[in-house]
Amino acid sequence: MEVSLLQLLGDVAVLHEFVAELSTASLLGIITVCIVLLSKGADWMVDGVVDLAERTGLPKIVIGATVVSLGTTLPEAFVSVMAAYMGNPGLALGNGVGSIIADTGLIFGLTCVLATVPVNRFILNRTGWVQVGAAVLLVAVAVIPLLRGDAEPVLERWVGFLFLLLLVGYLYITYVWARQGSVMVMGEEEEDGPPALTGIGRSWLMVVGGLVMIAAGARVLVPAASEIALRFGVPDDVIAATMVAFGTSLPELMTAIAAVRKGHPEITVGNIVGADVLNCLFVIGAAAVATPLAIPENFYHFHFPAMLVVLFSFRAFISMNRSGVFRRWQGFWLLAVYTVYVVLGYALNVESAHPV
Amino acid sequence: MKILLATDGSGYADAALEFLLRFPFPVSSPVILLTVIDERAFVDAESVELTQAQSDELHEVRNTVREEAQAFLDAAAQRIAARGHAVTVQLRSGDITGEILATVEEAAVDLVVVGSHGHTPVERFLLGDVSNQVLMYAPCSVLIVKQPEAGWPQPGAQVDPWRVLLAYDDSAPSRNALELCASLALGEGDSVEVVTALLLITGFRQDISQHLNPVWQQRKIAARAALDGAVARLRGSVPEVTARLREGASSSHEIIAAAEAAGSNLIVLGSKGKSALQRFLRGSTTGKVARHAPCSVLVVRDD
Repeated sequence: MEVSLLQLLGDVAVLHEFVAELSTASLLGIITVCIVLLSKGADWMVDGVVDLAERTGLPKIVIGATVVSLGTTLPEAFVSVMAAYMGNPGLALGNGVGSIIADTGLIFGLTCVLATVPVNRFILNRTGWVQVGAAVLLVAVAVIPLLRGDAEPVLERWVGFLFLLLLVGYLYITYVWARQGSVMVMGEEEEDGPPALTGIGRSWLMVVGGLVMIAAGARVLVPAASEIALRFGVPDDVIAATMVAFGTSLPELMTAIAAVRKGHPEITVGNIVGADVLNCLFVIGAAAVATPLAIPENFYHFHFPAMLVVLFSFRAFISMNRSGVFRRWQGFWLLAVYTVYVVLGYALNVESAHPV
Repeated sequence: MKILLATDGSGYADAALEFLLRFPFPVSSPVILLTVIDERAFVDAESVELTQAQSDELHEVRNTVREEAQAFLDAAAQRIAARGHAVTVQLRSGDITGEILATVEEAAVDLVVVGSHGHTPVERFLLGDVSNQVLMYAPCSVLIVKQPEAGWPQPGAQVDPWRVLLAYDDSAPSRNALELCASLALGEGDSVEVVTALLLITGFRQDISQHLNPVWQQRKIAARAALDGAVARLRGSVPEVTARLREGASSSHEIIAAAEAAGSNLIVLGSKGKSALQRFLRGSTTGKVARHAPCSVLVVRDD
């Protein structure tokens, strides 16, 4: 089949046909390439946008609360919006919820096992409640249609707009909290001199190049993941919540590993809590705005309960840790919940799969 | 402080000798001068059947190598003795790194001085690197000498002052390095710059979140206080002390950049004594600094 790259990216039917013809090994290879593109693209894009923002003289604290805090969630957002747009709500929602579970269970769990993570009460008593609040809100708005007796519960577009509105409020409040939490005079940063700016052309190239990489990665990943789900005999949402969610959480994972290696595991706490909030408000919000998201049944008895177990465990650990650090066993617990979730995802769903 | 100078008579080893002659060691220190002849070449040749003439020639070559090594050792010993150090000379044969490490153990050496051949990564992979291996496996402090670009000044010429860069992070190994700097007999014009490198996570510009994190800010304040403490410790014994807090993605890169900026001719740092697995996972700052530094590097180990 002679297909040009543009045709492949532009035409959904051609794209589906293309992935359907590939071997499973090639599909897994393509998924890996997409994940790398998403991750590297997001990294470049953040770099470029931060450069451009610094040129405008925007204070670092604002850049930190907006661009940087959204940066590691860009792959999830693109994949979920693309999945919603391409008519795959299970993948869109599964990626958002699965990323919350992967971030808190796998990445934070791993960090706790590998390093002594301080409990930063300033962050956790503020953003930490938004984290649980956003997840509970998501479950609540998902349960409403069920209570109404809708045959096919849907996350309506207005929910998406509400989440995006809350996202703006959240970004503003993190800025306010960052100002309050800073023990240093912010002007002190000036001693390092003005930021080393590279050429403006390079910044734009990074923004545009990064954007193209993320968009292309997401575009190909969605049908490839769907095809893999079909071949493994599991529903889309399971592949989305495990394999795709792991892949799109790679930026958080890489950042967490760098933080442990460099002796600053405290960065990971804020990152994970922030990423959880953004996976709800930004990723699922934007996907629901793109198209109303039908909620597969699996979410009510599997994904949502798992998400709440992970988040409430995390919350409980914060209140338990009077000594000021997370305990290693708490990391093992989170990792165990994540592992059980992934294993059960496949074990429970293999037979109930409904190939299209 | 018992010093072992491992030398192979090459230009690089000469640089190590010159360094030793100039360096302001704390007190008059006993020096062992060691040359190891790598006899693998001769042994291989013996396994082949040789004619009488070839065998004689081999024997002669072997003797010449030994004689030249001995002559070099004796000449070097004289120069060191002239500086007031007690010198002993050892000529050994076998695996170079193995024999150096054996001598370190037998003679309870405190500091090994080796010249760096300045291999490229490919050469290091193919040939191995004695200085790097000694650095990794020696139980004592190691000084890796690199020849200054302009060469050593001629005897009698104006000598460059010592510009020492001490990498300090308030850990026990770096406090040992601090104490060693404090014990050096530095004179007029010599200086020490104490540098602490705080590590930034640069991917996804997390360095910005890092700067805004209260825990990071407290760490920075603590690092600055520790740096001030180190400067206060040196002030009595070192003519000129400065301090610098740097931030960057890698500590080895920051240490080397600081040395380049300050025009240092020696970097002193404490070894964290990582296991092979830790080195593999987290990399070894001392190893990277020793390989890539533009100047000589003294890695201090507590014995």
